[in-house]
Amino acid sequence: MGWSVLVSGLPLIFTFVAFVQLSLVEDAQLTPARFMAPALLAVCALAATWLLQRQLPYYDRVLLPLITLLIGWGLAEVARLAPPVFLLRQTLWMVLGSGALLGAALLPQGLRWLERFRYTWLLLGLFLLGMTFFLGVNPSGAGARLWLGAAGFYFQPSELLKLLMIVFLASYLSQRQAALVEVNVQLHRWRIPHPAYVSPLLFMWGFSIVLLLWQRDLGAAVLFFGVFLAMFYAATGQGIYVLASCILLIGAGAVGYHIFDVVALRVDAWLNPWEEASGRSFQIVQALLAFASGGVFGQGLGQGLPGAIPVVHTDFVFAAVGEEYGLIGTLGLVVAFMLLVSRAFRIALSCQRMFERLLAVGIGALFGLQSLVIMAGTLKMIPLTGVTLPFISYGGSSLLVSMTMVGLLLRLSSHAIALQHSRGEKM
Amino acid sequence: MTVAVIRLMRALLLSFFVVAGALAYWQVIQAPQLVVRADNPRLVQAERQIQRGRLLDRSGMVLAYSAPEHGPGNVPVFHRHYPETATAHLVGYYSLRYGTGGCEAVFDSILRGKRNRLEELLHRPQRGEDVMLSADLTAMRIADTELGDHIGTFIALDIASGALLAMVSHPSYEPNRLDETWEDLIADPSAPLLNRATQGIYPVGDLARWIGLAGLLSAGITTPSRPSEVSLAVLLAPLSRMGYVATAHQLGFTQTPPIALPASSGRLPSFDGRTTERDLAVTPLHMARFAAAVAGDGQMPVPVLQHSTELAGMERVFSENVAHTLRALTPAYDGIASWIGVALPVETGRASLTWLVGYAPATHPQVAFALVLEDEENRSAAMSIARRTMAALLP
Repeated sequence: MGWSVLVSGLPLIFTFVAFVQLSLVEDAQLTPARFMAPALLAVCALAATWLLQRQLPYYDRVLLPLITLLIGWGLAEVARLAPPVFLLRQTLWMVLGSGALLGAALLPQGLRWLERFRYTWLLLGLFLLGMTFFLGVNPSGAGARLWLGAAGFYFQPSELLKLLMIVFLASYLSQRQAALVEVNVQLHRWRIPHPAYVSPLLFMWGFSIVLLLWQRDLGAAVLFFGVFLAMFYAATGQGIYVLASCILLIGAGAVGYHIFDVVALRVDAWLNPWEEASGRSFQIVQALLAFASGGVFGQGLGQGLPGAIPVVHTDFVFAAVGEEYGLIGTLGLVVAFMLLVSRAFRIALSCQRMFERLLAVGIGALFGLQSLVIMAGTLKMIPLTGVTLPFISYGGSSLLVSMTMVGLLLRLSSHAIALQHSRGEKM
Repeated sequence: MTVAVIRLMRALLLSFFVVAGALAYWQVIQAPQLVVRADNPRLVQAERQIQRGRLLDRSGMVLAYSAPEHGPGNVPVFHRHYPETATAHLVGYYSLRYGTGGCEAVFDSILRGKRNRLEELLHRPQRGEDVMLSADLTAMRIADTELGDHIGTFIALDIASGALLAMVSHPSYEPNRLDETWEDLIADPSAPLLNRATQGIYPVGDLARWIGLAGLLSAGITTPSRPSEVSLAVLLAPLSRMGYVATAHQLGFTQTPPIALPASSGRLPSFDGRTTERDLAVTPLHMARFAAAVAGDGQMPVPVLQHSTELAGMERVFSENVAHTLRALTPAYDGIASWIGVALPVETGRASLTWLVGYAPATHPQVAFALVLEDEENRSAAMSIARRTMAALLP
């Protein structure tokens, strides 16, 4: 008990220290109003810990403190980088997300519903995404209209669609896994899965990708592609598809380079940013300058100049961390995400039922791929695709859905261990 | 299936290690080269956060100061202000876009100050020290007003200490609006950014007579008892061209004056038939030092920009007797001993210009000066400018 309190407390202390620092740097005094966000975070984290300990005795003890750290860090970055109203919104989304997390972890029939009504969920997600064609807005006024707005709140259906797609794939693949592996057709020299089993999968997935590309939501499309491959590979164990798909992706990228301006821009900016450092590659060059100016120890929160990077609070929050927390901070974030991914996969391996295992794999793969895509993008390792850094970037829908997914992981962890325990007692 | 899940996890975790490698590359290995890139806005920001020291005149009047503006967070950024326009060329400018000029450049390291490692780490504000200049603001204001719309320059040196007391150059510029007006200033054919006192090279014209006299006296050649009544050619005849050039060397005209501000060396005439001794071209600073040497018994002072009580560096350019004789020959009027003359720039074929070089008070010299009015032959204006400005410089 003492140990777990300490572990829950450390992320909160980290968050409070960050807000104290911000208050001192920006106001030269401690402003009580600034501490609403970390205080609400503490309430949510402690309440969630208390409820989970009562209701899910065997839940994974690492996940909750881990995401408390990430969310707290994210709130501090939003407070640092964005106007005050953004922090207020993000804090409210965090409270909503805590509810969603607890709901996902504790609702008695939750997993069963998810598994059974897979088409319903996916179609709901696609419907919401389709709505953005007609009612879509962009809260910042210009750019891709990926949000549905009401009463000052904006929701991005593609974020929800990520989770629903994972649920759909986990459900479909777990039912058809045997058929996908064993029923093959001969095509020239290769044996491929039978179209009857693989085509619904490809259809639903392809439809989502097309919708996303239509909406110019490149980042989400890339993630869908990656998560689909990861789950397909986990279910069938056939690496050849992964390889083939990666070749396809590069081919698609080459086609996209010629068709979509945004793709061409991102690829050009990636290949040689220095030539147009003040023009088209301004953002990535400024991000690299931010990383460089952070050095090993960083400038200290509130004391760098990350505001020089356009839209730093969403896509480029990692560069802001790099500038103000230094290499120590960025490596800390990398380790935190590695821990998150490895916990998700550990939970997957401990799950007995195929659906649950694939669900955990999908969530772990999504967290891993999403954080890798944006980290590597801001570091000029791959062309930049605009996705959020989970829990850290400003973005309510992303936070809500990420927290829901952690809720599912928590439930799966308790489920699996409870099963093991009950078996152990019987033996 | 378990194998596939484990492989997938390993692939993801391995990718994170690659990201960690890239972080180390950009934040440690490439960082030193990247942060000094000119498009790094942090350089400008850091520069703006420096509280630069003030520049003061010899009595403590403020010539340049930095006032805080509201920056991001509570970290103030500073803006440089110049309350006096008369001091534009002496004080110079400090611009984030165009760098520094004048005394802002000369004393840059003092004005900026320095931080040690610990202060940098703690983000302590960088604060520079004030610099007190040797110049006299009151005299410079008067010189500025008196020069008015004339194109020209006035420079005054303290004979004993070498202190630069006044230096005004017209046309001038508004240092508070340098960034906005830079392009126009650069394109302006009248070169307002040029400090004519140290960088303007003017033919000596009639003043060749005094240079020649200094040469003749130094060489021990007998001079006419009333040298102003013989023609220049006759006067200089005993002194060969070689002798004249040697005198120019001796007086430091062929070198850049020992001053930290941008300055030009003089130019010897080529004596190719079109040019004569009159076409030796020097800066007003050269001439002011010559006058100081005449007034100071042959000791030519090294100009000093910063107010100090230390004795100036002196350089003997001719003997006490030569100086004495030259002083005796120099006409004095209203307590100001001076040489006046006009010159006609050969190369440019422009209108003639007026020189007025001298020292005051005529009997116990304290201040030496040089004045040039470009493109006009206007002895009375030159006399009046010198008289009013010298009145402010003398007790």
